[in-house]
Amino acid sequence: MDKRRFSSQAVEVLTIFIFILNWQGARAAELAGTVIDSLTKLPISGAQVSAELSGQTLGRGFSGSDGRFSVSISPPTNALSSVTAIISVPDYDEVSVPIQFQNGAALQNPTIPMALHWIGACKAGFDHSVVVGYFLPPAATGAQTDLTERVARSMSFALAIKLQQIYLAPDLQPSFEPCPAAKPRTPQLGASVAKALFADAFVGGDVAHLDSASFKVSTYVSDAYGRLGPFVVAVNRSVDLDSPSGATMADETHVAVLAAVAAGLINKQDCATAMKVLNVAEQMTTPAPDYLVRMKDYCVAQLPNRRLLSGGPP
Amino acid sequence: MRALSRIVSVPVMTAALSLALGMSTYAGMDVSLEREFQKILDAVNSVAQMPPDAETLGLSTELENLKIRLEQLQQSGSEDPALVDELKRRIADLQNQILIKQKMIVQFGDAAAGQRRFFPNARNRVAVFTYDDPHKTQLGDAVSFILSKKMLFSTQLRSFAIVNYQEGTGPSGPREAAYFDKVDRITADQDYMLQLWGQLTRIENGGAVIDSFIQVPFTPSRFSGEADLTLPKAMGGGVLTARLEANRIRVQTLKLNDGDITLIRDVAGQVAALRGTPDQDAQITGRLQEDGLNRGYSIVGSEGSWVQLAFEGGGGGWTSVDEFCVAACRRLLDVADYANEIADIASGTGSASRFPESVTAEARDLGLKMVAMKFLDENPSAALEVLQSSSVNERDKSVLGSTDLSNLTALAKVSSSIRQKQGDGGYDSVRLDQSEITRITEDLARTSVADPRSIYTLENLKVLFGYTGDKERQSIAADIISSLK
Repeated sequence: MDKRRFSSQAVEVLTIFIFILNWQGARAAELAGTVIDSLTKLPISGAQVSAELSGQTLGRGFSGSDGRFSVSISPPTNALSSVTAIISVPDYDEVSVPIQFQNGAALQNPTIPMALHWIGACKAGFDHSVVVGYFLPPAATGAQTDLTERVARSMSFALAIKLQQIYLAPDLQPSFEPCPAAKPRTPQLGASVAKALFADAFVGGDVAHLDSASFKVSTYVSDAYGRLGPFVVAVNRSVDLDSPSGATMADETHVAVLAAVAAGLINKQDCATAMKVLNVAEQMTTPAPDYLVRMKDYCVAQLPNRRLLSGGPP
Repeated sequence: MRALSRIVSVPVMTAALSLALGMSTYAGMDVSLEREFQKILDAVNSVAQMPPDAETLGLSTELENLKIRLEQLQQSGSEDPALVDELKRRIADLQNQILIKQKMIVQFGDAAAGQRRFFPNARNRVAVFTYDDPHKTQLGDAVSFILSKKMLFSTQLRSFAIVNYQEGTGPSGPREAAYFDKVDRITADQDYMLQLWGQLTRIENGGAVIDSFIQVPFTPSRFSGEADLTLPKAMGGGVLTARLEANRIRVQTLKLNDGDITLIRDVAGQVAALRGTPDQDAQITGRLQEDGLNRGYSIVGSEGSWVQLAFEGGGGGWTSVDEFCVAACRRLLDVADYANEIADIASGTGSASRFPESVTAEARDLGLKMVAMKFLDENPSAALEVLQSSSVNERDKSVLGSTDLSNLTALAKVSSSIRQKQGDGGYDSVRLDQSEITRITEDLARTSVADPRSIYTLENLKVLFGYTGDKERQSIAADIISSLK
């Protein structure tokens, strides 16, 4: 066998070997990631993952208790291509995530946040919104199906007039949007909910028996920017749950909501307007709660006007 | 809910001057002259109800002259159309003069902007809007009806007209013009001297809360709400400015129980009933609002708390607010009394600084500032005294209106001190102690932090820092002003 012929045969064998390697590597490719809840950031188990390419299903799998999934697929032969991971979980919006593959190997190992169905339904349509969510009823009642709407309406009328008094521009005035489907598992999630809904504030709550005839309604107010801490709780006593219109909220609730509206303005670097809203809130409560004082201090520190005070900036 | 742009038929606004008079005296005369005689008779009766001042005397004389000329015309049998037209024109002119001396009111069923100006000749024009009633207490029209009548029946002002808007100001939907904004549009359109409105909130256990608001649009033609003080040349000659900004002030918060709500509805019904004589038991001869049409009417007589009203198209009767509005309803009338005080001050006739007990600190503060503004030129010490009687804490900068209070107080303090120091000397040589001015600048600086966009606060600071020699803070104030402009 001459050297030239041997060399030619070796190249052929090597080519076949590489092809086999490639083919075997493709057979062993994994599409992997982690599925989490968009609000709680906790892993979701049992999520169904389907890997698709050009309408063809390449493989299927489920997430484990740690939210991780791994689906074995036949990878694309192209040097660079994209496989779509479609994740579906009951009560959550279905999510499609493109995952890049290069030479049969995935370039990403993504963490995929899943949003509960109601988040899409409750998303605020305006710049400055306050979303009022579900009010957990006491076991024996169950008649407060419209409490969310009534609380939203009551707050809207009570606060709109106060904000119009200070000539807050119409586009800065908050809209109060009832969304009874919004049911975060704990009040601590309020800020995340507000953020997910593109709202300045989220108001949730629960109803409890005060005595045999009356109820107390607790509100949990959170802002999307974390200025109220996780949430501000206020107890509204003797709310008339039988009245079709009366759901008067306590000043503590109103103050927290106004502070959340001011937080939205601060977030847009409009401390001058935020100060006006904070002033309205301050007039409704004595002494001013800590979060309100902190927000005013923050705003004062942002304003050039502070340099007019004797002794200069604080 | 009616859309703001909805067009309704424009009511005839001419206040009725006619009284039921026998026609036998002029029976058989030419119909056109007969009408003119009737107009003169009506006018004579209207003038008889007016206060006996020089203006009233002048109107009476003029009416008597016209009556004589009409009688002469009738006796001569002349039918000279030019002469008849001239007399008609003079009678119409007199009617107009009488009209503007009277107190007038119209109820208007739709708060549509763009209507023609109501009572264009009245010097003092007030709007009372139906109260916003999101919880459907059904009190909105009743409250505004009672308040507008109380204002009309008890005002000391003449040439006074009220437009009582019933329904039509509720919000039309999310992000559409809100109640306040609609009120603003109508006010701008109609140029009222003040407007009164409010909101009703259903509360637990069947009650409701009535929040009443007032807004006084300050305009140079009426009450400018602005005062300037030029500092002496020795103090730099700068100009300090105080301005009462457009305001939406809560006048009163009145809590009602179920019984009170019923009472107020009943009172509105009683006030709407016109009686044959000024007596609760007298026969009812007509009603205000009974057909829902927009009707104008005037006060043509009074007896105690009763007033006699005459409709524009004839007819009328006696009614009273005070006779029927008692208990919780009586407290509501404080809003009308306060609004009348403010109208007096705004019109230049009043300077009292006593307001009903139940009005809010902000409302009292607004009144005091308006009174002080009137005193500022002539007697700055008196202005300062009035301002210092305000229950709004000067240090609490979060109160609505505190910016105006701070600046007005600053002006009054500086002006008062200059007067004291001036004595018999020249104004321009007066120099105040810098420490006194520094105290004023500290207060204004706090005001500026609480209300960062108040340019006139910054302008005042710039002037005063200039006098105290604080170039750094003067420059900061100037920088902020230019950034805001």
